[in-house]
Amino acid sequence: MIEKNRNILSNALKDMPVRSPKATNWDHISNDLDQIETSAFISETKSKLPKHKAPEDAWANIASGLASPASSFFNSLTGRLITASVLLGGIIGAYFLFTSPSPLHNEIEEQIPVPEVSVHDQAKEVQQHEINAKVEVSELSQANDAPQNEIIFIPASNGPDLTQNTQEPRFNNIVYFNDDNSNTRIKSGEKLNKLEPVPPGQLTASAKNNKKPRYYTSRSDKSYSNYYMQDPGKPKFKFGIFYSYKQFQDIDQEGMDIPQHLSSFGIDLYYETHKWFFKTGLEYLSWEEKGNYTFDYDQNQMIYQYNYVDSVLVNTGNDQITYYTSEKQVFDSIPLQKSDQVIYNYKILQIPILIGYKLVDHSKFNLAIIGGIGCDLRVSGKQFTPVFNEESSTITDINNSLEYRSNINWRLIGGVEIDYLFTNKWGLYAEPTYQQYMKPLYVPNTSKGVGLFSIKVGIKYSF
Amino acid sequence: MVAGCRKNNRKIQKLLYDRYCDAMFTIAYRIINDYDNANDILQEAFIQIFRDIKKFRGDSTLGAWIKTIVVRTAIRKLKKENTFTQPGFHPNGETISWPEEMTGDDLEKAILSLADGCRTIFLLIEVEGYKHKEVAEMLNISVGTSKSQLHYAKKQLQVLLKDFIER
Repeated sequence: MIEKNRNILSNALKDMPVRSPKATNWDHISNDLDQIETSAFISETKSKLPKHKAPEDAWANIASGLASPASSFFNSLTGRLITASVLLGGIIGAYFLFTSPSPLHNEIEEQIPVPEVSVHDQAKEVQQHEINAKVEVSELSQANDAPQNEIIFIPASNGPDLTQNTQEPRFNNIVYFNDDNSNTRIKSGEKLNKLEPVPPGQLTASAKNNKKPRYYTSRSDKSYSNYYMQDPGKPKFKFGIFYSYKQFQDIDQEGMDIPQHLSSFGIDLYYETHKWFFKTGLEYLSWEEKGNYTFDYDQNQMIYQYNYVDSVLVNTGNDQITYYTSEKQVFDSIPLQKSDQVIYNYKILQIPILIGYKLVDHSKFNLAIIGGIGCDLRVSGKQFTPVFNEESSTITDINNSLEYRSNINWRLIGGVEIDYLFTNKWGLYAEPTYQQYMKPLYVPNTSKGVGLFSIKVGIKYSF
Repeated sequence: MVAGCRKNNRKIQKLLYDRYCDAMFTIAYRIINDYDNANDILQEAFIQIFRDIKKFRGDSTLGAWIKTIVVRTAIRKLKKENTFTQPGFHPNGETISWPEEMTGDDLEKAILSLADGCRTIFLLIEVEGYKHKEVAEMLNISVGTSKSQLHYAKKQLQVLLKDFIER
């Protein structure tokens, strides 16, 4: 690059005007220096302040104010899953515990091998051995009409007196059972052994024909009712599917739109023995709650504009002055406020643990009172995500004091259950209850727990 | 004077400020090309000067040390407020001839019309007397870029001055 007459540039550079800053500049600098000195003084002084030792019991007070490990365990998803698994496992375990056969079952089964002969053959053998039977012929003829490979229970008082017999009858499906607590007369088959007394409801005999013995439970067939052992009170399990409607009381929260009633579905599991029953299950609730929140933000907005004179051209020939201007815009940060809606999407599992007592126990109609507790586990509580698309803006404050559902809560439950059985296995049931939450539904909130009326309607199956 | 400033003697600090404020403001104004921003730069730079004057070891003159702080503050501000990019330019050996009738005002007006990048380089080298190596270090660019931008600035000034003078 060749630069001609560079001295012209040098001279022009020297002639360039020198400008002065604002007169108030020094004041600003001086003030800032004062603040710096003050900050330095405070910092220096702070380091000289006496230091105090924290009280020894401070941590103990802090720790007592923190949430207990058990609470945090139940609040975690893992804790909830483990709790639900333990409850479910307990129910399944209880089922197997109460439905598994007694150890006496196998023992007796081995002691009473029964040959596979027809009912007619059995009748003939009864005659051939001329047993001194006390059974009426008509009753034996009824026994002959019994289904094949079916065990028939006949009261020992009506059967042969086997205490003095050396020969034993050869029946494969007739069992004499004791009705006067004398175990010497309970005999059956060709190898009858002395049987130990067994509790009611316990299996007493078995055939080796791959068909399990059973209790006579048919209500329609009365022909063998005298010979079949009636069910002496076997525990029953029941399973129900229901629809539930809940009406909350005093659930209003300021600034929130909360549904006053909810509908849900669920299952019930029952374990019944005589008039008492234990009941648990699972109920799933899902709903939305809405509320409003506000947030403050600063937005960079144009507050005014003006024409800036870039240069002035004076034409000395005609004294005309030409102004060259450009439009300047002045922006400033404007504090603004905006409202938006919150949507909470809740999903809750409810697990009741109830005990019931049947006040009315008819074949078609039952009425029971029930009471217990229920656990609410919040499995999901998705909250809003603030979406803020304003350009050149910064959120300065979010006023979101809205409350949300607690992770876990307990209810006291009391009510009645009404059953209508249209068969011996199937029935309809209704369960009106009043439920009182033991803790506030929403946190942070110091108010008492709310109450609710609930009505369940479902179908029940016994097995 | 330096000793007085180190003792936070406000009167001595004011004397130092008065001595250098116009020159430093002029540098800041030419770099940033905005009156209010130049004032901000001046304030910011002098606060830093008084705070860091304990670090001044006398390796250079006090004025050069102050000017470096002002220039760096101005460049930092310029980079913060603008996309500080230099257009690609390759000198092709053209001859630059300065118009004889140009004045200091014309030159300053033309300089302030230049793009930020080449204006800063022209000012730092031709007006403030920095070397290409120092400018490259301050602007975080290569020495070659500094040289090419200086040539580009001069070419632009030549055109601008011609326009201003013809008016």
